[in-house]
Amino acid sequence: MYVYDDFDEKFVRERAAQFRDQVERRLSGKLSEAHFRPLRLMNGVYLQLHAYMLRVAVPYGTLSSSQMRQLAMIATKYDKGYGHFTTRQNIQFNWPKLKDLPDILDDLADVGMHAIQTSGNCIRNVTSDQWAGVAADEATDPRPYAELMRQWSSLHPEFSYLPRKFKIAITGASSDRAAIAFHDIGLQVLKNDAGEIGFDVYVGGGLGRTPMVGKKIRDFISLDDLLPYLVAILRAYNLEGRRDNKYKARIKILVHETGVDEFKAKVEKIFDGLEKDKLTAPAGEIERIQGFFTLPDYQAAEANPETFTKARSENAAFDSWVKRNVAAHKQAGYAIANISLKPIAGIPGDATDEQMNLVADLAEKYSFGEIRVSHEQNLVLAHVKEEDLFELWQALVPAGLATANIGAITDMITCPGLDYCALATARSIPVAQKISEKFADQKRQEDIGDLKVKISGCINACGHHHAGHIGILGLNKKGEEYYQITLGGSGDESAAVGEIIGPGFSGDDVAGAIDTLVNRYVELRDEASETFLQVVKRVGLEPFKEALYADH
Amino acid sequence: MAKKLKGDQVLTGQLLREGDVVFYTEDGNWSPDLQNAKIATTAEQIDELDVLIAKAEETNLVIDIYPIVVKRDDAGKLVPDLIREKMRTTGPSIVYA
Repeated sequence: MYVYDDFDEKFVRERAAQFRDQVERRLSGKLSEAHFRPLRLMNGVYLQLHAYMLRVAVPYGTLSSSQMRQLAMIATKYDKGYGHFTTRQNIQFNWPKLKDLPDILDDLADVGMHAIQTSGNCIRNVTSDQWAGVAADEATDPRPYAELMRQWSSLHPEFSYLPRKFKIAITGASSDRAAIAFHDIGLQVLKNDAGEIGFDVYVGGGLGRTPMVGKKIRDFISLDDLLPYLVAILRAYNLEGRRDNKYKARIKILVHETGVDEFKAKVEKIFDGLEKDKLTAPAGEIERIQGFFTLPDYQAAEANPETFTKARSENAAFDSWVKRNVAAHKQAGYAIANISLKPIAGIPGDATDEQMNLVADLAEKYSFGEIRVSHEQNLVLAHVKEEDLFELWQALVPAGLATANIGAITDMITCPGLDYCALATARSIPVAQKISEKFADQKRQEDIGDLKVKISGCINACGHHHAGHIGILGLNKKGEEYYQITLGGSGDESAAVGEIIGPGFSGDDVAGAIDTLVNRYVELRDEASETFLQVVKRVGLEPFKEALYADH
Repeated sequence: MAKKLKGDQVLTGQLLREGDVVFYTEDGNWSPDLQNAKIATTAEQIDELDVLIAKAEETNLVIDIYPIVVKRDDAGKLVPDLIREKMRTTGPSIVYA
């Protein structure tokens, strides 16, 4: 994985020292809250419902064991012993004190981490496929290009005060696990027959109060032209994106109001006028970055070794975990082990300090000291030998980290909601917990198969409800929380925005409503392999509406 | 802002250094317990809240100060009117950490 050079190291240290000075001046009263607020936000420090919140960047969701241990240390020393992994592949601490934040930033800098550009109207953490580099369906590893964009976008002088925040996601696989169609810019890395790298460019995707699927505006732009093309898109947006209305300020609105063809023409015109050789990475830089993303030193390992198949046949729980949580790896004899942060009735995305330390140790022992965070709020050990999977699983079980539910109904994306968030209109976590309890039975989950439920506690859609096969949106009506249900959304390569099925439900009734929908799906499916989403697409919403509202 | 709300009101904010939620008390201090809050009931008292906010901000101890509407429950305890403020008063509704 990428390791900071002297420039990065100095830059992060200087920023931490700058923030220490700003906090001291704020506490002494030399800086007013009005002046300090944008400065703290530039360092990922929010004021939430009960406390400050610190959002730490995890570039494209990749962490080392030593970084994870440091996050665990921060959780223990300065917070309440846990952290929350987010849909941007970052981690949030819910209870830091302002007086401690300079020390926390120093501790983060010690392991090459920071909270820069995790807030504000700038280019945020570039996210990627959590299986990058190892997925069996990948054309090429997107991480070197994500890293290139990280370097390019860090404190970019032209793009530090955009009309609104700006999110970029990149994948190199045919199955989109990075939700690129729901980002301001989505990039798909491809390789042509000549072995050259190119990028399909999508623009104007997003969730929030105006959900939109990104539109492709360029096929296979070359690596040399990638940064200049991004500059052209961002310049068009920076110049013409709306600054008069916060809710219409994202690039999706500009693309929608301008029209895709006209927006593309504007971008192309800017692109044609750029001195591209001055904007592209210097010669050798890509190769230097790529050098950090070479695959680890895999050992020759037998595929499906007898120890592994025997353990599966003798232990049903392990077999369930392998079926749901283990994915195919490029390298024979190796596997991708996904660690669910969605225990039954737990808090989606939360990990205790002890769990973080354990995952760091297990990554060191079994996966070359590297950990990934997925946008679905789970962790990944990306390079585990199949013959080690049983041992790994046995170590995860007592820590509550072996829930066999990746991609299943209880693996819900859930925003912090009104339990933490100052913007929320309703709670998300208790709803997720009730649904999780309702579908706790492993056999039933396996029978239901792939089903993505996503829950947001307000219209800002941090819980990606629009992209859920079943989406749940928490609102407030006359002082009471209620929940709107959508069906048919999808965050992958078949990206779609879900449709509202009908009147909302109270918090106590949501899990029952989901149960009704799932039962109807089971009745409607042609065969067990037909997924919930496929059935919704085939039959439409009507049969589900009938099931939900028959008694109303 | 204070004048737009209807009903009995108290001032709430968060401690600058720690971030903890607090309520303005009768004796001019800040308490984590809503039950200790100074209640503005008359029109004059509610009008005065803006002055109190300005004064409190000058002390540089509490940030994000604003009034909330409160009611008394059957047991006579003060309870915020809005669910958001109930949540701020009681903390997350889930078992965490």
